[in-house]
Amino acid sequence: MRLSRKTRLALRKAGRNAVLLCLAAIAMIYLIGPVYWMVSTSLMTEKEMFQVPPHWYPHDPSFHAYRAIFGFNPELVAEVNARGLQVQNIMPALWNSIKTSVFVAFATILIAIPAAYSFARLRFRLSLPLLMAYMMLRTVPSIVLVVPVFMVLRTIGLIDTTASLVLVYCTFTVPFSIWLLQSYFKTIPIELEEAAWVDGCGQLTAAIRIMLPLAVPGIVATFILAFMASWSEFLYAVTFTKTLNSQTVTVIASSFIGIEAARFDLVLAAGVLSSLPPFILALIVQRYIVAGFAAGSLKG
Amino acid sequence: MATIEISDLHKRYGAVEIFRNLNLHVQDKEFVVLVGPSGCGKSTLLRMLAGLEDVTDGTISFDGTDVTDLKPKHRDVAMVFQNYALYPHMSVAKNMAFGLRMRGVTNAEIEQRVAAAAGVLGLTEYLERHPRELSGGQRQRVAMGRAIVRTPQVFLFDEPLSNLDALLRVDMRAEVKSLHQRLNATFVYVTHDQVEAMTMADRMVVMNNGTIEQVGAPLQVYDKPANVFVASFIGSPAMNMIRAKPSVANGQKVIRSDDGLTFPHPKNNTGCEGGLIVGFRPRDLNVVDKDTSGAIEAKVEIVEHTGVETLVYVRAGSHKLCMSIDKQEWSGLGESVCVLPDPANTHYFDETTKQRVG
Ligand SMILES: Nc1ncnc2c1ncn2[C@@H]1O[C@H](COP(=O)(O)OP(=O)(O)OP(=O)(O)O)[C@@H](O)[C@H]1O
Ligand SMILES: [Mg+2]
Repeated sequence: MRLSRKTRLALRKAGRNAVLLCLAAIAMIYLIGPVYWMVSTSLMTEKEMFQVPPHWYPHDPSFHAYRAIFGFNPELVAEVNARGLQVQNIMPALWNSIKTSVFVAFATILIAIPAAYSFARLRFRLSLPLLMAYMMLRTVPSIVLVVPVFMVLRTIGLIDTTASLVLVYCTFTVPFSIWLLQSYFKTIPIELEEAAWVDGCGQLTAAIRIMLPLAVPGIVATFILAFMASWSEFLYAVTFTKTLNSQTVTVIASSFIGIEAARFDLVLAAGVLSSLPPFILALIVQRYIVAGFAAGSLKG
Repeated sequence: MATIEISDLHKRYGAVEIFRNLNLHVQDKEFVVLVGPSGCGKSTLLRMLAGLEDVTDGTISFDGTDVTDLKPKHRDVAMVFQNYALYPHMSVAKNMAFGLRMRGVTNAEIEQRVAAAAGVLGLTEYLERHPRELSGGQRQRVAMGRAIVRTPQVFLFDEPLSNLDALLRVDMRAEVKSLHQRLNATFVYVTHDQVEAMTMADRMVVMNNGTIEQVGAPLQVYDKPANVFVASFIGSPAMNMIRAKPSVANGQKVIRSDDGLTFPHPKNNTGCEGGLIVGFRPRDLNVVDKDTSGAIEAKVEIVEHTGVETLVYVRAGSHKLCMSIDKQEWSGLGESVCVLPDPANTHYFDETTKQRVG
């Protein structure tokens, strides 16, 4: 049977769409799957969690784990503590994480913006070697630095403080932020600043009034990345903090898994809670990350 | 008040030499137009005047004050960029107002000047738009507006009308001219449009490959091109050029080309021993009677009508010559005619130095 040209085209298009749809679905499962699993399991009792065959959704959803980590479920807390764990209230930890990450993100962009501007706009001999050195810093595994940094922090008396985490996190958020921002700044045409110079601006004024507003999407993206990096950091946090004075949410979440016992429901509830702030942050600022901000300024 | 003095200017980008020993004097309130082919260094020169490009060697002075190392903001210049360089995050009104705001002009004054400039440029209804919402020509006018709201000593224009349609361009040309008369400022204007250059300039600076080939009033440059480059670059259609050597015909000194075309000997006898290049504009080539002395036999090959004039391409010997005559129907394709360049407007250049000899 011969199909008409139109039908064949329509079929081919449908086939292509089906393939694309399948790929999208696979990507979706890959990305969303673990999140779904975390949320759904956090609503199960420990018993339901280990059911065979596994439940794809909580048959009898309960918020017992959430209530426990907020301290509203003394019976469960007592039961878990009896098994050798120590359940702490997650609120102060969440607050510590927010404090640390916000400080880190702000400090990072405040330091990285002027540095990135220099790399993007000024010519000096050490420009490339310095950028390379920043890149190298990122290749040192954190574990290597834990002990020396711990000694330093102990000597200056910063162990178990938010300040220590902010200081340490900045050492890795700043270099990658400089990289990101300098390459973003380079995409902003220099002619715009030149026009501002001719219009009577000095170099600094032109950078602030012309380049910075145009770099907002890049700066916001960098802010989020720095925030996320310090939000999810675990190794330094667990080493340099001792009490709820500075312990972050990653540390508390991990404390629900001990040597003798593990409470996965509590871990997962903590995981869900700790994903919320970055998610909300991303929702709030995503409208600043719009492409094509500088469109229309230059010819052609 | 601003004279511009460029002395012994050198410019190098790494190993690439753009200018070598460039000298130019621009008088106060003069309208100077830089013309030249693409890549000859017009924008680079303008940017050096604005202070945006480092000077490798030499000096630039405004009014006798050395500004070579002065930052743009201290030079009191306004510039229209070749690629506009509009501030994308500001409305048209804010774009125009920015320079004034930076210089502490009062709000009332800013508003009035922006409104006036927008009126002149036909941008009044676009004042609240952003550059991305404008057409190319509108953007170019905003770039103009940003310069003309200011009252600097020196205006620098880098091909400011290149993106406008023919009609608007003629209007804007007149606007820029009247602006110049009103503002008492020195204008340096870059274009590669000869008509623009001829019509607007007090003096034209013809550049090629980083050197100044000729400086002069438009008609002076047109009537007495200093060398082969200027002769062929200025004027459209281009000047007819024929290589020829001194010779003798009928006991008279003449110039003769390889294929036997003869032209009168230049009045000024110096430098004629070697080869010469004879040039005459299409407009100065005329149809004559067969028995006119010096008449050149030719065959009509192509006829083009531009509307204003009729261009007749003829073949004489091995040369193809262009003749421009008043608009008329011409049906003589393939026909033989006799043509003769106007001796008063025939140009002679030395073949080796390419310089004008008579
Ligand atoms: N940054 C640079 N590095 C090396 N060469 C450059 C640089 N900028 C410009 N040039 C060269 O300098 C020469 C002059 O450039 P310029 O932009 O001044 O030309 P122009 O006369 O304005 O041409 P157009 O009419 O096309 O605008 C060109 O040959 C160009 O290749
Ligand atoms: Mg140019």
